[in-house]
Amino acid sequence: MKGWQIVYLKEIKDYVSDKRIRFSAFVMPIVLVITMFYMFGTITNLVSKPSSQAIYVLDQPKLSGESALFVSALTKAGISVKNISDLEKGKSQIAKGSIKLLLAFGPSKPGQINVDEYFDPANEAAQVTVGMLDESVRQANTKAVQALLTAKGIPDYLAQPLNLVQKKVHKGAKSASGVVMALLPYLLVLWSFYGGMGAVGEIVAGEKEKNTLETLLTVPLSRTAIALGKLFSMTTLCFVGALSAVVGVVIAYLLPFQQMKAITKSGLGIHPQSFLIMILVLLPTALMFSALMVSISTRARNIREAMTQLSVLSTVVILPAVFSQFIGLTDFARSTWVSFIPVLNTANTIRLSLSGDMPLTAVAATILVNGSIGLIFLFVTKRLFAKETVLARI
Amino acid sequence: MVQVEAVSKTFAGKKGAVVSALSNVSFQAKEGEIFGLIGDNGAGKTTALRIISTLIEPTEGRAKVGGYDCKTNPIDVRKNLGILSGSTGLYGRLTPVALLTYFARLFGESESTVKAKVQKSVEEFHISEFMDRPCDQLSTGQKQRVSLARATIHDPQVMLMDEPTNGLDVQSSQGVLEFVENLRKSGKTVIYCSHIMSEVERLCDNIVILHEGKICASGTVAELKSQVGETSMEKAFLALIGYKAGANS
Repeated sequence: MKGWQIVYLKEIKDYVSDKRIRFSAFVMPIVLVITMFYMFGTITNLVSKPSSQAIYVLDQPKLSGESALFVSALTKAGISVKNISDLEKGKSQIAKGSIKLLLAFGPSKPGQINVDEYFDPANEAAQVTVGMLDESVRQANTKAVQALLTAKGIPDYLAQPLNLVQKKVHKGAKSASGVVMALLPYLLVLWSFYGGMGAVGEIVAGEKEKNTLETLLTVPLSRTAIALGKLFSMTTLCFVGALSAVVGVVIAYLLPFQQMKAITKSGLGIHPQSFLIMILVLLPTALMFSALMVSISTRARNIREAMTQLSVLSTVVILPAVFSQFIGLTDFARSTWVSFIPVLNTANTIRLSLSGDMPLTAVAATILVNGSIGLIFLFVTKRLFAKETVLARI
Repeated sequence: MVQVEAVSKTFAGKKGAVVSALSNVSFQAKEGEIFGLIGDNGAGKTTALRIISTLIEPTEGRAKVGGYDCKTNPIDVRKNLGILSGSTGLYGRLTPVALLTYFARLFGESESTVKAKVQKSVEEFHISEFMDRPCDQLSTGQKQRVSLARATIHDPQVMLMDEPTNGLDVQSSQGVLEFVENLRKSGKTVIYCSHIMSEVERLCDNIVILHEGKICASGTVAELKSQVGETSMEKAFLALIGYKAGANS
């Protein structure tokens, strides 16, 4: 066994035997991913269920004719319709947020029912309810016009003078489900950083603090071998942290919860090709993060100093990772320059692969950029290990 | 076996100041000798040990272990060295057996001999009763036995010991001192640093006294005592470093 491999194996065994590291690198990503998917599923379920959209109607019992029929149709569609007898009281409850949408039926003309929709435009839940009602009404209006035209002997397609028909062009590979595409790249990048956070303080700074580093540096191994063994063990931990997030997604999908089914109706859609791309871009990303973290731990006097500096670094990781969630809404996602921004490139490349693309240029650029940064910090770590002043900074 | 020749070491201090930790220090420790390196706090003992153990390089001069230069041949120097200090840390989550196996491998033992080496150490240092317990859960005395086993797992020719009885009870200290005496019997070289003059008097064949980075006296215990006309090593040491009663109070 080579020197760096002995150090590497010892560090890996140490991680596995430490309950705290096991929890932060392996258990936490799985638990958090399942929790996030469960929450998203719950929200999706609630938003898409008509029964969860309560609509208040002013003076419902007094309605007659077409208005009463309309309200009855809403009830039949599963929407919860409630009565309120005072418009001002209704408005005040809208302001408080306890009523999302209030319908007030006005004077009707023959063939047209006038309804005022009262809602708070700043209330996002109210906007969902209004959107759902508007879509139902649009469909009902079309049907009514078609029926009217047919009765008059006019072709019913004239109810839609401009007919838009969606023709989906599939790329061959099916894309992953929307929530997986939105969340997974972000989670993978986060955990390839945070996977190593539980151990990085101890890996060098902790050894200084506990007086074990001097002993280690007096064994007949080059300092480069010791640095490499420690760094590659941290790379493994970061990589495994990211893979645990994938395991979390699979477990979340397999769990028999209705909430999960709502967001993965046609399966997860993670293809072997996407998985391969994930591995390819996560490895240099894990190297980049681990080299950065180990160099900070080597430079620091003690665990506390290392963790303070790492918490500042974590914001640099979080920002591009958060931005990656929204980049798909813009044309930037397919711009070449994105592939040259560390962290963002990993998340974006994974997102592109999940959408069914085969982003070879982005994969190559991500490996090149993140791998190069990883190698630079590997070199920095090696240099720091060679400096006696850094090792004696206790 | 250990040669320190005109070694000086300076460090960069605050605001560009240069701090001299060792100045033109020379001594030699032979095979089968326990060599005392003593001095007050900040005298330069630990710096000297760090130079010999290849942790730091001398600014001037050179140190050799077993004929190998500490600066140009550090790997060969380390193969011949065992290092133990009172503050030596152990990997808390590893058991003594795992720790000894790790260091045996680091010192280049082949997989076929690692197990036998570890077993021998476990027996020699009476570790078997707690060999499967994480080091974090051991008493100070037990930890020091594991440290001794760790330092000698590769059967080094030279042992560097920096206050090895620090924090130990009387019984454990006695065990360490007997171990050091056995090293001499088996022809090993020991460089022994301590503040405890009774230990120095009992163990050391030759002594160098460091004060403010320089050698202020050297010789056997008897020679040092006679230099200042004192009967106790402690009083001789104080006289040799120029201690004046009440000066530090």
